[in-house]
Amino acid sequence: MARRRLQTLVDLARRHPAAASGFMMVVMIAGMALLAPLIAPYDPDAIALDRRLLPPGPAHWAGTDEVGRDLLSRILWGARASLAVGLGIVTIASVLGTLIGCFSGYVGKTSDSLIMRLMDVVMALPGLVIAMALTAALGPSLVNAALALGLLAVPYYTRVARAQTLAIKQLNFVRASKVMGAGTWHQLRVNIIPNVLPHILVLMTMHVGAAILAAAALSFIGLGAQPPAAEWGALINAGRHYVLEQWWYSAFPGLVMAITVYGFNLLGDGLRDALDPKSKSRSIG
Amino acid sequence: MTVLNRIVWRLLMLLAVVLCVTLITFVISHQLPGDPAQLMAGPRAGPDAIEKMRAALGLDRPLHIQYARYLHDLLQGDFGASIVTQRPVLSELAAVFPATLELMLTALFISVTLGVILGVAAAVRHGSWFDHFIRASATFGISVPSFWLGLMLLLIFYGQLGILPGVGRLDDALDPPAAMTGFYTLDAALQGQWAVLRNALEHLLLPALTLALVSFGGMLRVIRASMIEVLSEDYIRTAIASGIPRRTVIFNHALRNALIPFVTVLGLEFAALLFGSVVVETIFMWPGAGSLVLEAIFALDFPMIMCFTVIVSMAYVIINFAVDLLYMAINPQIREIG
Repeated sequence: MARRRLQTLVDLARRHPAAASGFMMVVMIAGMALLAPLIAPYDPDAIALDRRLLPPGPAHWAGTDEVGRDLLSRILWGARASLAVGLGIVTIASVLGTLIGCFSGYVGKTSDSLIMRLMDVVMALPGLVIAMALTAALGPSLVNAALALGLLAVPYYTRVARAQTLAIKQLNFVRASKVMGAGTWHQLRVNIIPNVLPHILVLMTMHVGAAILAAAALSFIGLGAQPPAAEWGALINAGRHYVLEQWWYSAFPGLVMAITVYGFNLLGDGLRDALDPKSKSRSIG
Repeated sequence: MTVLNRIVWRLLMLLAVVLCVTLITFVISHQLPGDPAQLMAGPRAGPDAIEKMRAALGLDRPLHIQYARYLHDLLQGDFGASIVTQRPVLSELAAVFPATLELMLTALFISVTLGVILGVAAAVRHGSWFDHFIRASATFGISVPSFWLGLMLLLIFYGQLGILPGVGRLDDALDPPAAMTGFYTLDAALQGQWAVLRNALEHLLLPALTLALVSFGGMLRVIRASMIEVLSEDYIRTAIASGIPRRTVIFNHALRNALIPFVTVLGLEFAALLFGSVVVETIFMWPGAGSLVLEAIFALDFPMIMCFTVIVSMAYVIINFAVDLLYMAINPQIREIG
């Protein structure tokens, strides 16, 4: 049984090599983030002024920063911050978006059109610029950056959730349940939301990469993670002033970040293709 | 929906968006932890002076009246004065905007050229290793942080190879050309200052390339997908079967139809470039709107930040409106069915 399941997985990976390699990258980075306290060679915040700005070498694989902190350790711990903020943004957007979208689609009528027009307006905003203004006003912090970016992404989930809800609510089991006297909340909780979730999960996977990039960009301009926190965007920003002489300072965190986002994007594309029958027939045939 | 209905609808949307943005910036400006009256009156002002300043700024009136006044001022082009320089923020922003526009248009030109050429080339060889390679690099392109890519380009072409200048719009030794358009390259060319033109182009290349490389991937993916779809249509196969040269079919028949969905992406890419310019301008010390707003963020100069936000948002919705009109103009299906 276990072997057959493994065989299915291998077949799946063979049919979608891009998605499989994306999955591997995501697993690798997530492992790094989870195991950071165990595998990081040094304390990420330990200052050693006699080892400032050392190039990569056997003692410090990714070199050290301007106060002698080990960069590899900071990159590993930074994976936690960056992944957490990426997932945080996606969670805020997906939870709110799904609830609003399912409610809007199920209830219909005036509230539906009002909600969806409001979503149109939010979608028409230049997200990163508004997020920048909001974060600057709320006070620069990674939590505020995540809040702003998460709220601005709600409409994308609302649209998908609503479209799916409209299709599901026509199905017999939902109508039967309504005839039996099920209330709106019960319907949403038991019949609608569970059936919308697969589509939301695909959207979440496709969104994580962009969310990590956006949060890091805000950190890079000083609105996200604050020093001395180890976060990828903040690390690249700190290394900016040394880039011509101490290239490793900015180069390594950015490279790890690019691989992470690439992995999420490959995985998201693959999942979407798998759900979309049009591209499925293409990849099999 | 007829075309006219659609246009009216889009105009209403545009108005709603502008109201929404101004409401956000207004609420932000008025709920800040710091007291603007205190800030304007200066650190040594007594309570009387602060009260006086509060009345002068209209801060003692109810919020909705203040918002109406705020909108009224915005319509007059009055975005307030910078807390740092005390000068009107709109004119400060307008003074540096040509630099940003020059950078963005150059970046857009590079990324559209790259996106269309590589997208068509990949679609024509659909399924080949070349297609896979191009597709993978496009996905990688949208995965790379622009601020990191900019630093790495700076490191390689300025730091290591030394073949391109590092920062700014011109070498210090050169005087900027007399301002006609505000674009250094265009002004220099119009006035025949070839050395300045060459230098300005060299300075433009790295920041524009940074912006272009992170935005061409999205365009390429759209062009490739729609080109593959169009190329499988019956009329294309008929055209090829009837002996029309493949090149003519690809560029004259297929590409023209494949460009339709591409137009809508342009509007979205513009937004990405606007924010990207904030980041890229900082790296290359490009004296544009992005650098200005970043300084404002550090100085907590909220009139400047809010002015930038409102102007950029308006530019964004107006460009998307224009794109929608363009889309209707070039897509006969929308005109007929509506």
